[in-house]
Amino acid sequence: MATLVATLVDRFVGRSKAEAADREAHLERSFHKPVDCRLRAFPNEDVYFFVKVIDNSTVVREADPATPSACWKTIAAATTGAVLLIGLLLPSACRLIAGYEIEDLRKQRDLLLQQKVALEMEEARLVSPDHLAELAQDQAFVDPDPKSVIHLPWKYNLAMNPSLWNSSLRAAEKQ
Amino acid sequence: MSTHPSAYFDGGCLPEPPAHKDAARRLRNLARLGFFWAVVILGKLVHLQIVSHEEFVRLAASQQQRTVEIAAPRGMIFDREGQPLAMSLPVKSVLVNPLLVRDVSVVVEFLSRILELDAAQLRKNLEAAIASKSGFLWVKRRVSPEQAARLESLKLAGVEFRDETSRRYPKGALAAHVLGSVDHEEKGNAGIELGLQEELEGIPGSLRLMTDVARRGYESRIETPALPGKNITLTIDERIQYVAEKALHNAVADCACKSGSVVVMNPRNGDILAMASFPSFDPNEPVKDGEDLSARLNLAIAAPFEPGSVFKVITLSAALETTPLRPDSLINCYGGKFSLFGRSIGEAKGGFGVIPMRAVLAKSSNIGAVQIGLAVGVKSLYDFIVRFGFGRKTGIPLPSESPGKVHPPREWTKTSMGSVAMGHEVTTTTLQLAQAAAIVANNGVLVRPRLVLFKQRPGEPIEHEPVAPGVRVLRAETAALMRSMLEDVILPGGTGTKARLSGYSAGGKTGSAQIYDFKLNQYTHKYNASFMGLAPLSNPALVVVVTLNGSPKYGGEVAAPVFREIAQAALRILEVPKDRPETMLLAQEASKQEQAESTAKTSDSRPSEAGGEAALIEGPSSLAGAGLVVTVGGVRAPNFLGKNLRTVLSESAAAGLVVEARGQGLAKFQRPAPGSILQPGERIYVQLAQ
Repeated sequence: MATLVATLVDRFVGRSKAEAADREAHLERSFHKPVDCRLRAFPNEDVYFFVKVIDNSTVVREADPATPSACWKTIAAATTGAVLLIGLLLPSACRLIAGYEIEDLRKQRDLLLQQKVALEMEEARLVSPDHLAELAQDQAFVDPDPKSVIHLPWKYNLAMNPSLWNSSLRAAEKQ
Repeated sequence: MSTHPSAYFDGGCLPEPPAHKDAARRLRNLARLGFFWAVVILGKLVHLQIVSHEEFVRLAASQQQRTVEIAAPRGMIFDREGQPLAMSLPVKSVLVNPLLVRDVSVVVEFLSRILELDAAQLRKNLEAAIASKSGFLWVKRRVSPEQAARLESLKLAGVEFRDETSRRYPKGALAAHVLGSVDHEEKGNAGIELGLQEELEGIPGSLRLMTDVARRGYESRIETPALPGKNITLTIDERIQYVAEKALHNAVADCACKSGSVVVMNPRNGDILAMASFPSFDPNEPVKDGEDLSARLNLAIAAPFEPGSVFKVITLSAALETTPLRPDSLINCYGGKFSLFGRSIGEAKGGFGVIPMRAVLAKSSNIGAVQIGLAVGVKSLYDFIVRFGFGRKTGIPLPSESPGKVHPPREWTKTSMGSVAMGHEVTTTTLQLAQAAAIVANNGVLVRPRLVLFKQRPGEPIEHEPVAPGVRVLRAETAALMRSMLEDVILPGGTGTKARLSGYSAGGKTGSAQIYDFKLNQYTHKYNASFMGLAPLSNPALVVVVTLNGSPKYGGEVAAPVFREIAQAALRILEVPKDRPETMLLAQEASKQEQAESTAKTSDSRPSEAGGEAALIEGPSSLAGAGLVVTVGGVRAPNFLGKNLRTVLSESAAAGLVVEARGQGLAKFQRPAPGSILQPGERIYVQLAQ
């Protein structure tokens, strides 16, 4: 690895000529030294390759009692991991979906409120005394003659005093 | 046996090659580079996460979040029956971001066409905004929903919309002077809109909306809750208001008056049931350039005038309270000519000799009133004028209320009594007159006029407007005596006979104050014609004050009929029981009919009131055979009690009556009770039981 990096560095960075000359001189001096007769080791020369024919035809896998449990453990771990992951992500996803729905509903609510106000406005206009008077005129309605209108005193008027209804009914039942 | 090559190097006889040193150096450089890179990364992280944290959070927020304004609509205004009189309608306003406009011509063309704007002016404004690099330009505010929809569908670049509200008055000009109006910023500029501006105005809130890449919201959080304005429920009854405005409008048109005002008030609690002013205006229409703003003036509270003879009620009340004078005490009216410290005082019509005090009021004698005023004295009369509420505001929450003018006694001249006793040299408003009349109607207790029934902010409890505690001004006996004297005014011989009601007793006082022309420095022949009335006399349910300004006729001629029309309708609307027997009514109307026939001998095709009554009696006579009792005033309800359903239905069908029966068995209860007079079209409810 270091050689590869050195090669790359040499290629891209380069080496100065002085350094190269020093290196050559050093090699030459080493070569001419009388006592130093051994060769330098080549890179990776301690790696030996052998070819050996192996016959596995008679090899039978021995049943490992730990394998099924390891398998189940793996499945369980994977499932647990998946559940945990889903458990962690699901609320966020649900919240996001719910958020979209809530915002849509909020918009709808605002729209409905606007429509409600507009309808109330229209209703108020339609039941305004002015408009009702126009309708009454079209239909030839007239105000009742004062003498035809009779208002009962409040305390005798069942419409204005509903409690009298029950008391009257009880009195009638007693009779 | 081979020797491993590395064995040659054992013993370290060879020096370390330079390549190893180079490798080590390069490794160190690489490590330094890595370290530097890590430092840079760390520095950048520190910059992002710590130094510029806030800035990047803000940038992220601007991309992912939006602040949306929560509308706080202005409070609604209702009448006492819950009918909306003023409401805010959500609308859209159109604006342009000139910096985002791609094609000015296209935008101007569409906007001017859809919004009906001047294209040249719009282009000029838009180009000016672009030149000044302004990012905001209002195009048109409060556009119609149709216009907004058309523009939104075009999706023009740079054209934006803003939600606003628009104040609307669904009843048009009804109660316009009470409601007032708002300006373009929806702030009240008149009437109750201005008087209760702070309570009606809502405070908008804000909402933080998280948005996705498509600017679609998926999560929101309220930052500042909106505070909607309070809904105001007035004491006004829109039905009575309508009747009052219609009657006033017709009266002003008929008598060619300049203007007029009406106040209808409940004397018991001071509730103002109607307050009308003419000329009127439509508050939906904004003020136009050059518009006469006098139509927007609430004359009932803002235009004080000399009340004239209606003020004699105060003079006579003070006399009953402070002098031995009684209704039957004789007053010398000097035949219609009287001189007070050299000032000549006369009567409006003819002259009177010695007449009872009640006749002074009934005939509206000026000299009699002055005589009574002199008996009361300056100090006492002034004291009672103030106690009746004149010279100060009533305190209703309407702007521009005038207190009127009452001069203190030190400013009175010798002849002032000759004016004040009959309603001159003082100015009052129609509302103040109603308040004064309410004192007489309310057994001598003054109750402040009340215009607001209650307020309520949405989601909060109701805030009832309390009735101001009453202040006794007159003794109850004095008030009762005054009411009886006021009744004389509308009886034959009085000045206000045109104010008589059908089925109800009533009382009142006419007033006709000459209008002073300050240019000519003299009184004109135009009057402030007024009528101050109350009904029914036995237990007054309402007080009505009518004022017609610039009338060529007296109050008894023009204002009294308006009182009659308004009071008659208001009593019916309020379902006030009649206090006059039907037989008496019939007799009165019959005699009136006879008189009319004998004198005028006209052949009016329309059935008269008496004729209508006769038809009512004759009409159901055919039902007599069905066991119904026909009497004066209508058909009496048959007695269904104790009868089974079949009998009830057959009898009611034969009689032409509508019956609603409930239950099974025999009739145990019915409403209306047997013998009750049925109103036309009224149903009979029958409860059956085993």
